[in-house]
Amino acid sequence: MHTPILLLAASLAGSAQAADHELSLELGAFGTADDRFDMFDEGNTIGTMGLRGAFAVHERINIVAGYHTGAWGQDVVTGDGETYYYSYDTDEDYIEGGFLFRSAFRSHQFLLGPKADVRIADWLYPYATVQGALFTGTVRMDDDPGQDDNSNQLKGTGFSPGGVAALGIDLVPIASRRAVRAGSHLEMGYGLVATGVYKAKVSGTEQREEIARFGMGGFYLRWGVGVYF
Amino acid sequence: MITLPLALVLMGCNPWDNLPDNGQYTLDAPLWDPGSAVAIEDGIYFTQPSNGGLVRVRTDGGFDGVDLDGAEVVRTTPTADGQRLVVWDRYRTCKDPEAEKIEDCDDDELGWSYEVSIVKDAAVELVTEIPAHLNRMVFTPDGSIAVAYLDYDSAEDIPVDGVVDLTQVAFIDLDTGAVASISAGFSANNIIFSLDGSRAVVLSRSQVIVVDLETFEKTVEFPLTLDNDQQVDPTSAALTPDGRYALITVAGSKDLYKLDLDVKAIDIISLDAVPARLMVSPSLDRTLLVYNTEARVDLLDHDLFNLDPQQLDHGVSEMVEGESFALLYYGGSAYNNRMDIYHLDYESLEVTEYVMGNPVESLQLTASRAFAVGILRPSAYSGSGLDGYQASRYGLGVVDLLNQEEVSLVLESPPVGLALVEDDGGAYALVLLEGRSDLLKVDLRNPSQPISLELEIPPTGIGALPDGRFFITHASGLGLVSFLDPSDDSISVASGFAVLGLQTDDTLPRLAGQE
Repeated sequence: MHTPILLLAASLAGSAQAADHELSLELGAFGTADDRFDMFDEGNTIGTMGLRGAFAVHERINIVAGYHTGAWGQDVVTGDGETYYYSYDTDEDYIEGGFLFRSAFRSHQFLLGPKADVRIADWLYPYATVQGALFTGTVRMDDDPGQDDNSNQLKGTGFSPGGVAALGIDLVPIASRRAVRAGSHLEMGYGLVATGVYKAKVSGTEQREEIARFGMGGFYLRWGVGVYF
Repeated sequence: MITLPLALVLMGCNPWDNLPDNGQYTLDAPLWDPGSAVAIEDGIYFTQPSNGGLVRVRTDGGFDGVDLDGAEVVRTTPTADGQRLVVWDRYRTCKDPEAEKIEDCDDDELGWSYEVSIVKDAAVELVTEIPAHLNRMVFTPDGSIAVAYLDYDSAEDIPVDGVVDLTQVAFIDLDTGAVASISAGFSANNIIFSLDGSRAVVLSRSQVIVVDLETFEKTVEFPLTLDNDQQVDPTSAALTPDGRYALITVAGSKDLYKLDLDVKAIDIISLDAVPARLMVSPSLDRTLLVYNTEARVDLLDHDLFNLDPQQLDHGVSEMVEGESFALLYYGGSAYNNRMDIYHLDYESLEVTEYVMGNPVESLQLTASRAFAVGILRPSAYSGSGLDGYQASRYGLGVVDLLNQEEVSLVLESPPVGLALVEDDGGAYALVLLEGRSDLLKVDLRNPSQPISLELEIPPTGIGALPDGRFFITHASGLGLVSFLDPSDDSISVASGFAVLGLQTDDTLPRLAGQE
């Protein structure tokens, strides 16, 4: 399964002293400063997972491309919204009377930008990066999640631009002269994404209406493990 | 062999089956209010309590938001002609001219301004300002003039901006937006119009005034008592067909006030009991008076104002009029186990009695007046056996007025809506029951064999559209209305309309610096 990656890495391998190419799996977090995102998640940040690839274009400079995704959702309720009951039929908790709909959002974040590092040791490379972001996703709203064919399954798509600025470190602990080395990275900074408008076809017509609008912004974090070559 | 696994994979990939659910988010209010439905010629309008919006749902399934320039809907009502919608609305104001967002404004500088907007085709035609506390409206017969007044019983709160005049009523010309306010007396909450629409009679505590609707000026003022310490609260009123006399009943009184509006004279007609209701019948040219405590209906002629009693088996409180008859029934406490509907024929003045299975809660007539259909409520005295079974349940009463037959059906659950439809093919009752996802179409000529029309989810109410179709609202968080065409029983839906304006900005719509 890893053969194509290793072959690719071997073909691109260069000096371990210079900026390496990289392919990593990542976990991340992104700030949700816009209160309107509370409908999907009320935390201050959302967790994501994805991939990062870096292509060395200079001794100390990479072009980094990343893709992250995640999904969040909540039951939107009204009234007291506090009275729960338990259903033995479905083995789930429900909210008495106040349920309006379930809202969910799946995002796809694409990032691209330069990363410049400095070599402290063969295994430690602090870096700075600035990346442009394209933030796209799908908002879903369903007022009868137990049914597959109810009329109110609204699906809206939208996208918005943004960017991140971060400082990080690449840790490449096996400082051997092997062409492919395992490594890890951690970067933190600030991200900002413009307000996106999510529109859906509604009511069985061609009419498209806005069902959600929100931006993103705040704390930005990525942690990953991968191969450096 | 491949089909089944592929189907299973596809089922597993259906995103609607796996929406993440990590908690709950609470809105202050629902996205739409099915009970606020107002059907006018261009569609059905619903209020959106969560964001104060107003949405029009079209019968083709589409919908439109109504731009109220940042204002929130307080309540709506249709004009008398069913062409336009009257919207009470309010918008946030801030005395600080620099504030652009509500959060930028200090609480003591934040306020509300109220206005009335006239809406047609999902757009505001006219905006006019009226005092904020006037929360109800009635319309002249031709729908051209509205009278706004305070109904304290239905007022959740009386907004006071500086001072408020509780004796005030406002006359609004719905074509120009011109407003004329007059002082009509304390608690002026009963307003009636002459048939020709030339004058309004405004009833308030211990006082009645007549207003000329050309000039909006008081022409006559009647005190209902000469003792300032005595309070006389009118409960109901009606004008005789010629518009000359106003007949007024008073809370807790056996007196019927007869006001001669032309010569400013008051007569008091003594009744044997406190009337439950009075109704002027233009076709009979008499006034009908019924009583909770007296087993009779009094017919008051409009020449000499003599009472002609017609005996009943028990007292009644409600009246429904056909062209040549009236139906009388008792709609009061269930402890009075009165199950009769009386048919008073205007020509012969004969009374026909129909005994239903349960007390009558409400009664409607078909367009041809051939059938009366009523909701029957559980009786307080349920008894035992089959009698008890029927008495403890809601029912549907059907009276065939041509063949003088009645039938009482037992309903599975409490009804949430009843509408009647009649065409060349027959007469039908459309019945919605709590918890059932279908509409029962009851053939009034053969009521024991209803047709079930499937609905997507259980309904919450039914109403008629001007084009002869019906709309059915549902308890759906995102908005769902079904449209029924009774000519072919086809049902279409409009959905998702409640999301309009779901995520709005909290900006001040009209900045103080720009006003």
